[in-house]
Formats: sequence, C-alpha cells, structure tokens
Amino acid sequence: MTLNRSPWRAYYCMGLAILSAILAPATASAHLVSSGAGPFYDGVAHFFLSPEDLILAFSLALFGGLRGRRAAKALVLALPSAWFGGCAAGLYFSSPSPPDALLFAGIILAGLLAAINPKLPAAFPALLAVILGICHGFANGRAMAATHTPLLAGAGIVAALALWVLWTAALTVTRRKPWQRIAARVLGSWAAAIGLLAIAWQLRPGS
Amino acid sequence: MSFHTLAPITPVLAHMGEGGGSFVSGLSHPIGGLDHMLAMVAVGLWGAQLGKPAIWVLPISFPLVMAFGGALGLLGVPLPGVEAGIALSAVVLGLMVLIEAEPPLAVALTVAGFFALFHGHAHGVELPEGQSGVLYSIGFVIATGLLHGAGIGIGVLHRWKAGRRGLRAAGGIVLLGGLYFLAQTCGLKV
Repeated sequence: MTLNRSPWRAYYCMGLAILSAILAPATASAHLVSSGAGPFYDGVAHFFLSPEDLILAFSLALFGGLRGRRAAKALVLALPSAWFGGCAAGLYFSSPSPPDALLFAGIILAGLLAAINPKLPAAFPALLAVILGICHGFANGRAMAATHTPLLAGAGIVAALALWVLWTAALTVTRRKPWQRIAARVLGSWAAAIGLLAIAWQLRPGS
Repeated sequence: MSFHTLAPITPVLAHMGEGGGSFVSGLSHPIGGLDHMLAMVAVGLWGAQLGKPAIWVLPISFPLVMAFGGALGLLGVPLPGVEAGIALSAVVLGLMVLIEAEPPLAVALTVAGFFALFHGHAHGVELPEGQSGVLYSIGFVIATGLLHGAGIGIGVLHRWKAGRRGLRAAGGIVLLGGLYFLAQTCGLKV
C-alpha cells in the first residue's frame, strides 16, 4: 500500500492542507468562498478554508482510526453521509444555525476521545460522527442557502470532507508503531485544546 | 498540489490577512516570553528524563490544562499571582530536571498541570482583540506543543551519560532563569 511506503509524504501533504487553510486570507466560514472555478469547487474550497470543520473531521478520523479498522470504515461512511444530510436540511429549513460554541464543544469532545482513546464499541465513533456531522452540515447548509447552486456546492464540501476523513483515518489505522499512535493522541489533545480556547473566545465577556 | 492553488484564490472576503495574522500571532505568543519558553521546554526535558509513560502523558495533558487556564483568562475568571506562578514554574520544573526527580506519574502530572494553569491564564488574558479566535488558538497550541517537542527532542541526550549531565545542567539553567524572573516579579533588582 502506498500509504505504508511513504507515510512522510502523506503527512507532508496533510500538513500543507492544514497550513494552507490557516494562512489563507479567508475567515468567514459563514459565507461560501468564491473560487472562480464553479460551485462544486467553491464547496471544496469552503471546506479546506474552514478550520473548525477541518479540525472536527480530523479529530473524529483520528479517534476512529485509533479504535481500529472497523470503527474507521464505519466513520468514513457515516460522517460524509450525515454531513450531507445536515447540509440538505440546512438548505430547506430556515431555523437558525447551531451556535458556534456548540460546534466547538464537538471539537473538544472528539479531540478528548482521540487523546484518551477509550475502549468503546466500534460503532461509537460513527455514531458520534453522525450527530456532529449533522450539526456542522446544517451550519454549512444555512451558509449556502443564499447561493444559486447550493446542492452542487454542498456536494463539493462533502467530497472534500470524505477525502480528508478517508486520508486521515487511513493514515491513523495503518500506523502501528507505539510512537505513531501516541503522536495521533497528542494531535487529539491539541484539537481539544484548540476547541476549548475557541469556545472560551466565543463566550468571553463583550464578544 | 491543489491545496497550494486553493489558498491564494480567495481574495473576496472582507478580512484580508486576518487569518494568517491571527495564526502567526498565536504561534508567536508562547515563544514571545523567555519565562514561558523555559517552562515549556523544561516540561519536555522532564518528560524525557521520566521516560514512559510520562514522556507522552505530559505533552498530552499540558496543552489541555493550559487551554483550560487560557479559557479562564478569556472568560475573565481571576487567578491570583499569575506572573509569580509562571516564574515559579521555571524554578520548580528546572529543579525537577536538575535533580532528575522521579516522582509517581500522578505527582508529576499535578505539578506540571498546576503550573500549566498559570501559563494558560496569562495567555488568555493577553489575547489581542480583533483576532480570529480559532486561528489564534491553533497557532497558540501548535507553538506550545512544538516547545514540548523541542524539550523531548533535547531529552534524547538522556540515553548517554554525558547527555544526562547536560540535561541536568539545562535544568540548572532553567532554574536560574526562573529565579531571575521570580526576583523581577517580586520587585527585586537583579
């Protein structure tokens, strides 16, 4: 398998993806990014330029990957499906988006679970992914409601998400050396710490 | 790589430059103060001296407790003696490295976690207005983790006899630095 032969290249690409998302001048996850390449690619760009979505999917994939092959497979199917369902619901129902604090709480939970790596049933990561995927997808759907071709943009978001989750989960599952699994757990703790700071940022007085 | 090409093609948003600026601001914050840096690196050094499982439990738990402290700071929850706590953390952690202390894991975690609260709180209070909270947090956590990683990397020297002496000497330097900052905090002229 290519992933086994060249893990560093895969890590390098993953690092580039995260860094591009961070350093890009985009900020507003609430609005769809205009890539100039059509609505599908607008959706792809939106996902990769939304750090909160990237980090949530990353921590869930770490958690699923650490729990083993079965858990990772279920998660890879469940998260994009739930996200797409949430997106569609966000497009057709005009109720307000879930508050950002709730979305960040999901990142804390997923990050903590990856860091602690508790022995839970293989279906648990997928179940959690369904709940959090619907919430984040709904927020994406509300953001896209004003665009002309929201379903195509939604498909772009979900395609990017599916690739990202598949990539991260596959890298995590195939890492067998103890230090590599520990590195995955350390990354989970970083995600939880980011979520914790971000939620406090949202709730700080005067915000 | 497509990610490279995706990043620059989004000039349409109102807050140009804010994303990168917040991330870099968060990244530079933990390495901006020598007192913070000394303590972060000392955590890694101590973890390396303690070996498994502390070498990985400390770097997992420290950012979490530090983020909790940061959250308290952001929310305006007061924590007394923050500056003294930060200086004292360098003193205590430096001392632990200097004497190559090997307490039970729970004690090591409690010591490191206690001081992590002060470091996090200081960063939370000092967090600049007008930044993107998520990107700032990402930079902040990555910088903290990399400082621990640097400490752990230097801690590889622990495998060799001369390296062990070198690590203890590094602990002594952290201790002296901590004492200097503690004296400054107490208003003493050094």
